[in-house]
Amino acid sequence: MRTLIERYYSSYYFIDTTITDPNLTEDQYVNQHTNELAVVGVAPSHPVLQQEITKIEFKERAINNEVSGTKKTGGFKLQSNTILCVITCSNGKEYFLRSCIKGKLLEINKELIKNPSLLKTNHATSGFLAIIEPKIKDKFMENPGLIQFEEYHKLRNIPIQKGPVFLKDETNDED
Amino acid sequence: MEKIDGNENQPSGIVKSETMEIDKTETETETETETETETKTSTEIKIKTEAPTPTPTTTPTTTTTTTTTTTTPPTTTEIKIKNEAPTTTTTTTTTTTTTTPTTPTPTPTTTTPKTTTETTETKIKTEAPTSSTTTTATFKIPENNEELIKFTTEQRYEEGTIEYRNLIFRLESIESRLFKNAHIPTIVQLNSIKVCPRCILRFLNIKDFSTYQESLNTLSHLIQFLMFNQKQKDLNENKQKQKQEGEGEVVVENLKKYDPNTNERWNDFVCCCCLGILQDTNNRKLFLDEFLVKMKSSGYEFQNYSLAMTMPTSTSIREQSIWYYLVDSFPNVYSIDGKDESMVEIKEAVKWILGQIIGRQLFFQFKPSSDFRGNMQYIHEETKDDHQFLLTLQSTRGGGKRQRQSTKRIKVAMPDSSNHVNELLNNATKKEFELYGVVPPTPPKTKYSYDLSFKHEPIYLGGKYNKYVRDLSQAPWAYGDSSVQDLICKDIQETFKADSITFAASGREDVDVRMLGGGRPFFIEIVNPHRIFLKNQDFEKLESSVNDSTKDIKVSNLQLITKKETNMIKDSVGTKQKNYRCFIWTSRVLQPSDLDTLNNLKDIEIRQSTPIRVLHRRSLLTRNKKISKINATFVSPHFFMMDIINAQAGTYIKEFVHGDLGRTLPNIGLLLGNCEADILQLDVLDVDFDFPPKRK
Repeated sequence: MRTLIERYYSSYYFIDTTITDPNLTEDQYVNQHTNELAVVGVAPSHPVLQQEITKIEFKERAINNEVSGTKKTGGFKLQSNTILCVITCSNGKEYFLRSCIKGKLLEINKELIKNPSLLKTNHATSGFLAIIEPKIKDKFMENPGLIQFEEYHKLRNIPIQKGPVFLKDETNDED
Repeated sequence: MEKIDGNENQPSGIVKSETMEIDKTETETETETETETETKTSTEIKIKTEAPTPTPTTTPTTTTTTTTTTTTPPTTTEIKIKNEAPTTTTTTTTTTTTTTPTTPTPTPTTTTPKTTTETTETKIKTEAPTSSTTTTATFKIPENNEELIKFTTEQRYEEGTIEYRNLIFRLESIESRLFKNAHIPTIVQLNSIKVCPRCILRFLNIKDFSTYQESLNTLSHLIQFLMFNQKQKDLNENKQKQKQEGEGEVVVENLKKYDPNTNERWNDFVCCCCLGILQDTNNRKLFLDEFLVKMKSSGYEFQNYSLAMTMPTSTSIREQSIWYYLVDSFPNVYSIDGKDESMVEIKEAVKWILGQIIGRQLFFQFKPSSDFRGNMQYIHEETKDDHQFLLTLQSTRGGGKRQRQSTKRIKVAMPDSSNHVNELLNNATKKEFELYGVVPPTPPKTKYSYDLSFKHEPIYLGGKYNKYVRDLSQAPWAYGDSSVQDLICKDIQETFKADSITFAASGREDVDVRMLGGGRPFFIEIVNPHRIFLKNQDFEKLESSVNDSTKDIKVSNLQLITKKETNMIKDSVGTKQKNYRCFIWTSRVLQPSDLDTLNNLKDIEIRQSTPIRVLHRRSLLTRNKKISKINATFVSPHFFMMDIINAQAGTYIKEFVHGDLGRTLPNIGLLLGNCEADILQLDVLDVDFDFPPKRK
């Protein structure tokens, strides 16, 4: 059995190549759906997931983004380093989250504004940041800075787990 | 002895001619010379040639008969024209007749030539003809004269016969009914420029369609009849006037009676207005037989028909030209702007005539908005450039009247189209027309030709389909070998002998979703079908040919439906509710009691943003949907079965279960609390739409 992401998306990860320090792992994921749209979010190796988050603030232009019609005209044109949102943590640190790919912003995750805890609990699914229509759709790896699923997990030393997570039955623990 | 019909009042004008021939089967009338005709059937008449009389007297005004040249008519090919009514006698106008086709020799007799003119000297002569060697002559069209088609009259009328009486009666009744106030000099004028009888009727604004249905023979006689009577009237008035003014002794005689035998071959021209279209229409040999054969052998099945006609553009030009000619000839009667917009069109007249004939001969029924349409396109090669002068006129029109240019986008007509020509005609004044065009129009040398093609409106085949596999798409797809559409439609185009077919269903399901229950309604549009009459067994055959060939789908309730009903199917996409069953995984361990939260829900309202999986081709919106009820059944700690009852049309079930990255709220995971859910399999249990119904 595969998870939703495994069924419909190809996972890529964006590594900021300008950063050489291997301890700085502000990585983001870029999942491309089979229909070539991309969902951008925070990768498991990102330090913000270890912090306590006080505020997630999207850029104004991203919040007011409006697209119309099937061609989605009027979306915010993004570069790979366009900042989408700023996350403020309890220790004052601010993390900037970017678009990672060149394209057109379709929508940001409004639920995340209402419910910032989603980011930590479900960063891969309902904690996503934004949906983007990429400029380079076909040969997606030609987007600069992207690496593939296996390479990322190797680079960041994260064990690969396929398939859905069957949560432990907690009722038994109460005994 | 001449037989004089007791009923008829024989005025002095009528001259009987001798040497009459009888059809062998008819013996009613006696004639001076009994002539045997070879090979004659009761329905055949042979046209006889005329040899000129040895003593030509006053030439008749309107006839062209006595003009023929020598005494030996040229050898011509025989025409036999089949006539419906049995012919009794044929009378010759002139004396001599030729014998056999080979050697025609005139035999002069001592009969006086017949005239129908005003000469009062002629008296009835009843002489016993002396020639007795007359046999039937046959008129032959010269072989090299292909261009000139003769619309010759076939019939001779002997006074006193039924046919004669019928004809005269008919002519008189039509005259009294329709022509009492008609302007007869118009007829004279039009006839002189070679306009055919039916077109003359049109210009006189006769709208009684039964008149147009009369045979061309009768109508030709009618024209001559009317002109003759008018002349008689004028003559008499003149004489009365003369008498009153005392200009000497003038013999006033009674009005002569029209003699239908005086006019022969006054019909051998191509009408300069309708180009032969209205001359041929009920002539079997020249048009009708071929046309009926074409209609019969069209290869279509149909219930009723309609005819659409396109006329050559030159007919409008010529009509206008004739109208201006009439305005010039009779300025008191016709005014320039008075061309009657309701004048009978050539198309209308053709339809009046053909409609009745088609109904009688082929038993096809005419219906104005029929599904089956014949397209008659009349073409006349010789006059196809008649409208060119209008184009040159338009280009020479420098300043002058400028048409008001509308800012809206106007459809630009093709320069040769009838719309454009009519527009140009309306813009041209009489002066311009007469300057650049031809008034009156020149008679054409060739006849029209036509093109007959048929088309049937699309018919619709409705039904329901089921899908039992999880790897078949509804519409043909690049990644699949087949599709529901392909499997259903494989034999349809051939069965109905159609040009093309289109498949449409009331909504669709994903490739990996089965369609169970009664099935999903669909319809197939069949374009230009040749076959439309199908019975129940034909539908059963169609169904079984699909159902037996594959286990993947099933087709049922196949039947023909109307176009209106297809709209029902199309509209039902957005209105009908559906029932689903799905198999769900949960991340959290569940007890059966946990499912109660789901089962207790009623009329669940969900808000769905456009699912990402369709976002590439649909606009980004939020859709509010309702689900009436959920029935969840526990299977195992991480799996359960769920029935969804009455989900609103357009609800994305898969997204309702897994939440689509949280963009569908609420979703099953949220409803169960602290849980992620995923959908493993989905079936559509039923589409709640009872159309098309089961076949009886």
